[in-house]
Amino acid sequence: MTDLPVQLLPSLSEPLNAGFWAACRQRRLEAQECAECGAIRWPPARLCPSCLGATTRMRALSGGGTIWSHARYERALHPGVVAAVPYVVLVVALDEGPLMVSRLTGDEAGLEIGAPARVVFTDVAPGVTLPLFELVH
Amino acid sequence: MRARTAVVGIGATSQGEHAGLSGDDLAIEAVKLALSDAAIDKLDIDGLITCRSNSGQGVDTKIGELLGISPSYSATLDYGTCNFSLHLAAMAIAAGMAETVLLCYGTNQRSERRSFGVPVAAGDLTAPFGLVHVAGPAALALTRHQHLYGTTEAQFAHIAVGQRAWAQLNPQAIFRDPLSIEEHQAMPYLVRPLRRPDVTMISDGGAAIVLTASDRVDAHPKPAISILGMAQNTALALGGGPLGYERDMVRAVGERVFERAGVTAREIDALYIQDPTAVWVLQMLEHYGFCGPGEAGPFLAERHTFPGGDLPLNTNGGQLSEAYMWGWLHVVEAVRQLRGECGPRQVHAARVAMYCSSMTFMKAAATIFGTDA
Repeated sequence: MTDLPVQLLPSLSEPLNAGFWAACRQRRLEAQECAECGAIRWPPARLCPSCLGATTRMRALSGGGTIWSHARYERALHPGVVAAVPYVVLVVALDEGPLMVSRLTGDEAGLEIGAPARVVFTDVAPGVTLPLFELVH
Repeated sequence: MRARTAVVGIGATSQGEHAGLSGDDLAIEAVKLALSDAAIDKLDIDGLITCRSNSGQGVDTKIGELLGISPSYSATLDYGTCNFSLHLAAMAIAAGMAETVLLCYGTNQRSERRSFGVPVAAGDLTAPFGLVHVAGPAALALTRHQHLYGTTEAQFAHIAVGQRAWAQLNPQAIFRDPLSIEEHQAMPYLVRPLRRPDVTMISDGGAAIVLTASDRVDAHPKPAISILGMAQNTALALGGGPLGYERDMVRAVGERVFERAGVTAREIDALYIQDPTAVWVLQMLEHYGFCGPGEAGPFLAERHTFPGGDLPLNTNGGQLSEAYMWGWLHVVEAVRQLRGECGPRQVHAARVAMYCSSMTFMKAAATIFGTDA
């Protein structure tokens, strides 16, 4: 079992997501926007699911949102999260609409659906910055 | 009449751990049992539909070779839940592609120590945050149900506890130890609010079904169990993301399947809801109209679904207590109940049964079975 990762890290070179991770590295939350109809694409996609347009550009997101749901992992269900448990996975309803999966950082007090949250960029490995979220009190 | 096809043979291996046997070995063992149950020879089969397991076994070309049969029609479905295989078989028969279809599934995922701690949809954008294993999305969905409707953990526990009560009446079930609400609530969380008994345990086993055209059932000695109605729906556009976690696409399946079968939810004598986690059961009780929207918690606490209740649910113990077989054993049990073969767990005068399932957060399906043609 030694070939299993000790940490679950994204591929930074995978073309669809590369722009997102590069923006995170620079502490900006960004998503694809259809250059033809303006729809936000989250998760990133090769075609616009609204108009099937193929051209895209990155647009800035506010970095704010509200908690859509949360779940607290108390057991490691993958070798890559052994060091992280316990941790709280979030689904955040971003101000712009998309639902983004993330993890809570900071205090759990006040964690409930509908609570406001904001992005906190966290370096987790060389070249890898994750957009975690903290509660806004 | 409504029914054009009927189940005339079922087979299931013992469930649990089968070290040294492959998924295909287990599928073939179940096939032998199903052919015997249907009282036919393998050469009487003119259709073969297999279900590909997580480890890549269960491909029609290989199973056909192992069985030494060359049916007129064969296909492999690449994903689980028995509904999809069953519907394809019924469609093949209705289209005249085959008259008698053998379906099978086998897996050795437990003895090969297959990990289910895998990332869920859009893995690179979810796994780095720790969203691994189906228990994660299930817990996220349950948290929302609790928030929206006030569902309590003790109410939710009635799913795992009720199915365990049924499993105690099923010698084939892997988990048969008594489980009370209090014992359930005292267990540690896996992914809060889910505990170990709320999530299926991986197991090895095989199952097989023989489906034939309704005008051919007289060739088989056991009571024929008709497919009265079947329906599917998808949420492919959601890509498996969080908007699908609450499985709203199931509601359309309910509207279609009850209409096609000509029955209502109140007429279901035995209900089978495929349960990788207990959350799926909570959702589907509401989506199919067995209780009102948001009312599954109080409904479960009234113990309708327990032995002796008026809505027997997963009377085999389901995947939470019997075995993890992608719903194939739910169908096997539904057929046994409608045949009246279930001994101490037999539902009195069961005439109509329903099997509901979903494939991740992308597809849902249901089948209504009956003793009438």
